[in-house]
Amino acid sequence: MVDSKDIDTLSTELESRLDDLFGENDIPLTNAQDNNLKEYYPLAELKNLILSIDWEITDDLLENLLQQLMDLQLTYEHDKIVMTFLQILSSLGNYIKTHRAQAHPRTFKILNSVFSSLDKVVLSKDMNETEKKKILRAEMNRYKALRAQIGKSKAAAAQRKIKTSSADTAAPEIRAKKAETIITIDGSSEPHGAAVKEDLPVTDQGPAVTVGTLEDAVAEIKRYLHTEIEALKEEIRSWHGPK
Amino acid sequence: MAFINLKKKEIQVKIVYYGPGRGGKTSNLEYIYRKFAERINSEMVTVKTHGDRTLFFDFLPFDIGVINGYDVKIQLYTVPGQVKYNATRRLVLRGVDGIVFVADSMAVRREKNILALKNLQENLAAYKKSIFKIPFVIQYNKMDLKKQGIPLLPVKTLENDLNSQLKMPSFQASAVLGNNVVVTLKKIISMTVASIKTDLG
Repeated sequence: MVDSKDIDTLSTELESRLDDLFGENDIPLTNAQDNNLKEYYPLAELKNLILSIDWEITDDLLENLLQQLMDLQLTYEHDKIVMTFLQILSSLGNYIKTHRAQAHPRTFKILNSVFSSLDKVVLSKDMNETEKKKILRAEMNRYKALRAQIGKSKAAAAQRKIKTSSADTAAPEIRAKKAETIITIDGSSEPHGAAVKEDLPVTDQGPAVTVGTLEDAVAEIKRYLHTEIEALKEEIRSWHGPK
Repeated sequence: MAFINLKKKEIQVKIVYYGPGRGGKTSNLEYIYRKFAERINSEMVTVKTHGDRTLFFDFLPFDIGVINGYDVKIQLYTVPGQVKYNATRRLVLRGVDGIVFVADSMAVRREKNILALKNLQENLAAYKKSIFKIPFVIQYNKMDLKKQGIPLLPVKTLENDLNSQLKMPSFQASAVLGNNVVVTLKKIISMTVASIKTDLG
């Protein structure tokens, strides 16, 4: 049986041994070791997720990406430039989530490019506001060009669809509308980015928090209309069916 | 239960660093390893993904010498924090003697801390261990981020969320800077070895 005195002896001996082993005052870290103990890197998780999208596109991955972007928006709500970067990434993330492998091929390139620029802006402690805005503006232009391309291809697809199927008239309209709303810089970047507003083409309408919701809603309406149209078609077919 | 070799008079103590993903579990072990590598004379084993995440676990074994006639060997493990790796976490918990729960103090991680603690309780229960009975230390990590203006949870909130029922020793820490990493380690080793000694009796 172990008595309390035995435990006390053990504790004292153990404390003394641990102090010998882990006394911190007498062994400063060398420079090399110091470098290894990297500072907290707030974009680590986001980087991991964006790298992962190169490998695979899964529901979990995209959910995590959008969640991480929301978390970072809370963290950086005081930084208007970073917020705008995050909003672009969120728009791209939502677009990828909706279109998966059918997403415009340049989307992934631009996603990586926007992240790299964000990374540069966050990590460069010496970078001034003007330089940061310049980088943001460049990414914004790439993003807008992509958006225009997507809009054009969607509209063209919608036109083709109208020509080939008179029964499907509602769906292309929805698609065309969706093409317009797929990627938008959220309007909330403007109130957040009052200082940025003058210099940056952050001009699209709509509050930031609603873009994801809006897309979901459009997708939901689209699914609903699609189902309804399919049901109507079935019914019409049954009227003209075997007599 | 610790692995005890009575013939060799050797005790192996397994301590697991548990907590939400990206909370700083690996950073704790990295600090210990880098700072005390020469003294502990050991190698740290770690398996990471391309995104620098713990894929399986980190493992840092070291010997603290003979105490009360027993050669005490400590094994530190971390678990992968990502939700999808629960099977691995459960596996790593097998035979655990003491837990360090590394909580993320960032305001946006509040829910993840709570979920991770619940997950720990469930996984311990699978081995018929109670979270209330196992030697347990809580570390509120990333306290250094306050200086960077990143919103953190007040310690009172962290205590309410995670430690109101457990009432275990807790420390505010910064694993990347090394603040209170050693204090946490010493505490869990002391508690665990004392618990094993009691069990032996």
